[in-house]
Amino acid sequence: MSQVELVRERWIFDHIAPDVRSITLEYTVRNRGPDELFQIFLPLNAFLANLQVLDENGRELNYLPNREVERALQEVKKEKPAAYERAVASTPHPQYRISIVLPKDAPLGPGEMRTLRLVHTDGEKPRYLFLRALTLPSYHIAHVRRVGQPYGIHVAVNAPPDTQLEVELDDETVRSREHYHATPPQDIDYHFNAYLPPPGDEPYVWRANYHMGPTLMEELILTGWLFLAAIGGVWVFAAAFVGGASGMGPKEMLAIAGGLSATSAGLLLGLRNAWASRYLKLLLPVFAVAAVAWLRWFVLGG
Amino acid sequence: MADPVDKPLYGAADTNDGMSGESETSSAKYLKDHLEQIVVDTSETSSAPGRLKLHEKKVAPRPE
Repeated sequence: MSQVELVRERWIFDHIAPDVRSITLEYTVRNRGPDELFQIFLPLNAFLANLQVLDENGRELNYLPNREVERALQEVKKEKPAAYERAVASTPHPQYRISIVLPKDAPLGPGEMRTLRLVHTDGEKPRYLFLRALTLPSYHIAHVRRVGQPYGIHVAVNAPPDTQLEVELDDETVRSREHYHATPPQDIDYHFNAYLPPPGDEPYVWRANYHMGPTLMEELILTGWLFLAAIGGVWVFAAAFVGGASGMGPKEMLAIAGGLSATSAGLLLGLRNAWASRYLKLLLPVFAVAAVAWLRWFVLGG
Repeated sequence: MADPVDKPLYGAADTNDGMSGESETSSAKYLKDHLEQIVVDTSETSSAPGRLKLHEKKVAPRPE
C-alpha cells in the first residue's frame, strides 16, 4: 500500500499569449508511513512536453530516465505481478509515468508534506476557432473523478491582461456538490478558477473549453472593418478599372480609396497582438486592392 | 525499513547487483523495491489544444 497521500492537486494554465501557455501540474503530497521516501512515482495521463520538475522552493528536481523506469517496472512485473497491477497497470495510461528523485538532503520524512510542480508546455500546436477573422486558439480541460480519491483539485486559467477570457463548462454532475466552485461567467475577466471537490461515492466528470482574445467589442469593430474595407475596396477598384462609379466624381472616389487603404495600412502596421495574425493576412489583400484603386484614381486626375 | 540508501541513490552511478550480470542504477533499484510505497493516486485530468463537444453550451447558474 502506498505511503504517499495526495493532499491536493492544482492545474494552473498561465498564458503568455493566447496561443502560448505554460502548464503547472502541482501535487502536494504527504508521507503517511514510517519511512523516509527518496522518490515519488506519479502515473500521468499524457506525455508532458518540455518538462521541468520543481519543489515548493523552486529547486529543480531530477527524475529517472525512461529506460531505467521501464526496466525497473518490467522487473516488478515479473517478480511482483500483483504490485505491478496495483501501481501501474490499473492506472488509466500506464505508459506515462515519472519517478521523481528527491534531493539527497531533503527526503520526504514521515508526516512531512511536499509540493511538486511539473511545469510543461503543450506537445502539439494550437488549434484555432473556425470562421473567425481573428486567430483565437481554443483549449479544453477534461477531468474524470474516480471514487476513492479524497483530495480536491484546483484549476486556474490566467489569460494575458490585455485579453478577454471565455470559458464554457460542462459541470452538470458536480455543480450541486458541496464546496464546488467555478468563477461565474459574469466575473471572468482574464482569470478563471474552479475547485473540484473529492468525488465521495459518486464519480463525476467535469469538462471545460476556453479561449481568449480581444474583447467582443474590439472583435466586432475589427471584423466589421474587414468586411467594409473588402466591399469598399472591390467597389472602388471595379469603378476605377471597369467603370460604374454611379455619380461619384474622381475626387470622391480618390478620397474613399484613400480612406480605405490608409485605415487598413494603419491596422496592418499597428496590430501586433498574437490574435491578429489571421486578421492581418485577410486584411493585406483588401489593403492592396484599395491602394491600387487609389493610385488609379490618382492617375485619372482625382 | 531503516535506511534504503545503502548505495549511491542519486545521479546515474551504476552498481552491479552481482547476480544478473547487468548494471543497474541504485535509483532504479529503489524504484523497483519501493514502487508500491511511493506511487501516488493521481487524478485523470488532462488538457490539450482544441475544443470538446460539451453537453451544454453555457454555464448554468450555480445553486444558491
